[in-house]
Amino acid sequence: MNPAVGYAAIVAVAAVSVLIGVYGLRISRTTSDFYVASRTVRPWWNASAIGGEYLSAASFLGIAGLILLTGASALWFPIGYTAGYLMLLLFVAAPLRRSGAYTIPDFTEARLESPAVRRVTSVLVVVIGWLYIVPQLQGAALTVRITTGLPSWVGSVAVAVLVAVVVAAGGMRSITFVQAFQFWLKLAALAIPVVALLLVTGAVEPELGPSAAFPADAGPGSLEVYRTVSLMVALLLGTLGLPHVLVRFYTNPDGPAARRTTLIVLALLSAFYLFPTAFGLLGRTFAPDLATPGEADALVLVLPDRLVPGVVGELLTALVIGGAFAAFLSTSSGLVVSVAGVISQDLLGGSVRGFRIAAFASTAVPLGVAVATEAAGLAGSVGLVFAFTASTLCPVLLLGIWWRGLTARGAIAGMATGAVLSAAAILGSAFVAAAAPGIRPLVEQPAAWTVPLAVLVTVLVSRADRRRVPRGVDAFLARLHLPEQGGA
Amino acid sequence: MYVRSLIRSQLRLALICAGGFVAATVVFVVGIALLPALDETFVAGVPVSWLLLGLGVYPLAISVAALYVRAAQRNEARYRSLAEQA
Repeated sequence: MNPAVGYAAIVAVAAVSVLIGVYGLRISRTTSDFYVASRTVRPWWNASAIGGEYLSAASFLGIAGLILLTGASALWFPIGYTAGYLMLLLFVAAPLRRSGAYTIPDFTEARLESPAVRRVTSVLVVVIGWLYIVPQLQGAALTVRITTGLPSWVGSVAVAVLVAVVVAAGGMRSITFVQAFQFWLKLAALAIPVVALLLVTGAVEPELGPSAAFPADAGPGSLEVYRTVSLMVALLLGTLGLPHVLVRFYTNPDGPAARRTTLIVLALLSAFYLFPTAFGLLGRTFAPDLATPGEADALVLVLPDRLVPGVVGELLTALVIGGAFAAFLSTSSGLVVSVAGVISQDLLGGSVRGFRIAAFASTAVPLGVAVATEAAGLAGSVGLVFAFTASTLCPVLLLGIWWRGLTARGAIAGMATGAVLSAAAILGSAFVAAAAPGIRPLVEQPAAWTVPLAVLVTVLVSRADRRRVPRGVDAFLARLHLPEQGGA
Repeated sequence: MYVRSLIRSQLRLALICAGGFVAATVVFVVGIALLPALDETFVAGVPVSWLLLGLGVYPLAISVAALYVRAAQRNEARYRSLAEQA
């Protein structure tokens, strides 16, 4: 692969992101602008921005890599990443918008009238944000190593610095433009190469015949039921608690607009995931030699250059690299906005200056982790972040919106249970897999039991504590569910 | 009073939609697994079973979502007219 192509693509995307960020700076002036973009964003813009924020390294590189590596079981990842928005639409979108809160900690504090709940939620949001940024920086490391030959850490550091600068300079108003732009860039960066590959593959001799490339024992009929169900629980419910996604719902003007936005997001994601899926299927036929754990995630970056000769192949490669960088930049900056928002509001008094300091702090920690640890498969590590989110923030959000009996103690007990159980399962999985192989799926894919336990603890503790149901609960629930005044 | 019944009907609607989506997906996937012939039939070099799993669930999710948006709006409209009468 020609390193010049890699450099050119990376520099171009970085320059465009910074330019759009600086342009947005002129518009965002007040603190309110910084946090929620003044709530004047239209559904299509908003949906594009949510898509831009959401489609991370796991979606852009990880899914195709995992299809190549493990087969049809990987097709469940994009299904779950998309259907999570169905759950978001059904249970969260409109009520959350009507709550009028800026962030998840704002929501839980207002709903449960408890600063203690706010503190616990804030800590979880920061932890989830950091955990989610790490695979983005690892994806950047992989991309830079494969495409330019530079050491891995250069990619992580470059993305971290860019994100911190853009977020600190522009706040969220600029980020809405950047994110919407990045969704369409990411879509084009996969769609155009896929079309080109489909055009040329008729003339290229496949490495493997159809039956060898798609053996039945890696097919849809031979899935592991527990792992698939547990992955779906994590992905469907984890989406409800992703801080960088939820913050976008406050930029809808009202509840029905929040629903429309979510519906558009669902359609956009469905269209997008056609292309990583196609890349993965092409990879099984034309690049089976890449099916090793360390290399599979590079499939999307490598395949165009292999199959399309000459300048066209290099241009397609540049496009894919640009799209991959857009994925790392957009997801990381969305997460940094959320994490920095929480840190600056809770620790630094909520000023614009505090937000800027927090933006740098909240990029530095995951950068340290990313540089210090080895990347596992990108789709898999993002899946674990979803499992953690589903076990912690999701029960509190769902019960807070739909059940008047939730109390502050119940919420804290449930979040603590979910956090401890899922973190223990994830951190201990390597150890348990060696000591007791029989329960390996249970610890490697824990959401199927950690989420129900977290919900159960939340409900039981709330019932035992029922005298402390917040006094304002009925008024608050009415605000979440009643249609807005005016417009019929 | 109307508020509680609005919340209940919105929750019921959401649960029905979620349950319907999950049930339909399970039926779809079990159907693919029970038809091994789909593993042997190739379209553009890919087994039909892989294509169905890779493409089939998205239209389902979008349809459920679109139905839900309309039904949720209807629930709110009904609440409005009840509240105006009262």
